[in-house]
Amino acid sequence: MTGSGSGERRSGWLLVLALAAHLILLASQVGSRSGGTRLESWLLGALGPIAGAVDLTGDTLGGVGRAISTQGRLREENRQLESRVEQLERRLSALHGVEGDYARLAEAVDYARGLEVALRVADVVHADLESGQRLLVLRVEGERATIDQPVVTEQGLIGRVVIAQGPWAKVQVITDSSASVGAMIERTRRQGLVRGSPSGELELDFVPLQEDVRVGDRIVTAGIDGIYPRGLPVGFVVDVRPGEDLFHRIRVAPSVDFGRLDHVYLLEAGRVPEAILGAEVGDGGR
Amino acid sequence: MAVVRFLLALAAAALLHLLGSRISGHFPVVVDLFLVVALWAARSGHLTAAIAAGSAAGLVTDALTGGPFGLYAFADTIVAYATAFAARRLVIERAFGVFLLHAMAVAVQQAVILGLLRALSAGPSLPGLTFVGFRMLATGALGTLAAVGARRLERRWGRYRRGRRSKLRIGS
Repeated sequence: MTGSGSGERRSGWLLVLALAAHLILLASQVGSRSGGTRLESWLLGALGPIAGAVDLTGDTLGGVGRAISTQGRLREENRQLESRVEQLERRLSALHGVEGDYARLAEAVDYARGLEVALRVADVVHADLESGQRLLVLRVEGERATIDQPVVTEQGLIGRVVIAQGPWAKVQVITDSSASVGAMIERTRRQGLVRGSPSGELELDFVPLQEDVRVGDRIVTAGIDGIYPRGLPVGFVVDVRPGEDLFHRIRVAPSVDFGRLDHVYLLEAGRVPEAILGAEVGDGGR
Repeated sequence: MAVVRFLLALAAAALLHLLGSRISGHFPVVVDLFLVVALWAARSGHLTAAIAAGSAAGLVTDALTGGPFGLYAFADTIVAYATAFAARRLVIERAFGVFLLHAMAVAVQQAVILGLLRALSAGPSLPGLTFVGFRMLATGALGTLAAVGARRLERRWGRYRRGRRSKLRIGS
C-alpha cells in the first residue's frame, strides 16, 4: 500500500512537471510571430508524408471515379473553355497595350512601383476548416516556404505560412479566430483590420461610424501589415451595423470558397525588411 | 512492446484522422481519435504511461490542428492521468462504462481547453454545446467500439497462441 502510495506521489510530481512543460510551451508562443516551436516543425515533418499519401490516394481514386462518370460533360466543358480562352487571349493582348502605357506613365512621373510578386503553386494535403483554429497543410515543391509567406488562390487571400518544415508548410487561414489582416474597403480606400471569428466569418474592425460602408463593398488587403501586399481580395461586406466605441460592426464574407481548395499559390513577394518594420521613429539618419 | 503498440495505434489514428478530414470537414470536430488512443493506454492504470500517452497523443493533435501548440497536450495529459487514476480503483470493462468514460473525457478535455484559451487570449473560440455533445457521443461510441474490438482481438490472439502451442506439443 505504501509502495503504491509513493508511486502515485512520484507520478503526481511527474504530472506537475509534464503540465508545467506544456504550459511553458504554450506561454512561449503568446505574442510570438515566429514559425512555431522546433517540436511542432518536427511533428509536421513526420505527419506531412502521411497527409500527402492520404491526399494522393484520395485524388487517384476520386479522379478515376470522376473521369468515368463525367466524360461527356468534360467534353462539353472543354469546348466552352476553348472558346473562353480565345476571348481571354484577345483581352490579354489589349491589356498588354494598357500595361505598356502604365509603365511609360509611371516612368515619366518617377513612381516607385509596388513589390514585385511571383506565384508558386502548392498542393493542399490536409485542411481543418471546421474548428475554431483553421489551418491548411501544404506540400511545396522546390524551395521551402518561408514564415509569414502569403498564400492565395485565384479568388483571393487564404492566409500565411506559420510553420515550414522540409516540403511541408502549415498555413493559418484568415478565418482562424486568432488571424488578422490589414485591409481596406476598395471603393473608399478606408483602412481597417479584418479578423477571423469562431463562426468562420470575417469582421472588419476600426472603421469609424461616419464612414460610408455598403453591403457588397469589396474588401482588399491594405498592404500595411508587413505581410500581405496591397490589393489582394479578402471578401465582401455582407452586413453593416453600428457597433460600440464609435466604430461600425462589419461582417465580411471571404472571397475564397475554403471548402474547394486543392491547390493554392505562395506569393513570392519581396517583404518589407524587418529592420524597417522594427525601427523606432527618429532612428533615421543615425 | 506496449510502447510499440501505442505508437502504432497513434499512427493509425493519424491516418484515420486525415482520411476522415478528407471525406468530411466535420470529422475532426466531432471525433477525437487521439484521445481514444490516449485513454486506451491510460486504462491500464499505469500513471506514468498515462502521462506519456496523453502528452504524445495531445502533441500529435496539436500538430494537426491550428491554435497554440501544446493546448491539446496539456488537456489530454490531465484526462489520461485522471483516467489511469480511476482505472486503479475501478474496473471499467462494460461497454456502457467505457462509453461514459470517453464521453466524460471529452467533456473534461473541452473544459480544460476552454479555460486555457481564456487564460491565453482575450477572445477565445468557444466550442458550442451542441458541438461538445456530438463530440462526446461520437468519441464515446468510437472508444467503446475500439475497446470491445481490442478485447475480442486479444482473446482470439490468445486462443490462437494456445492452439499453436498445443499443436507444437503434439508434433514434438
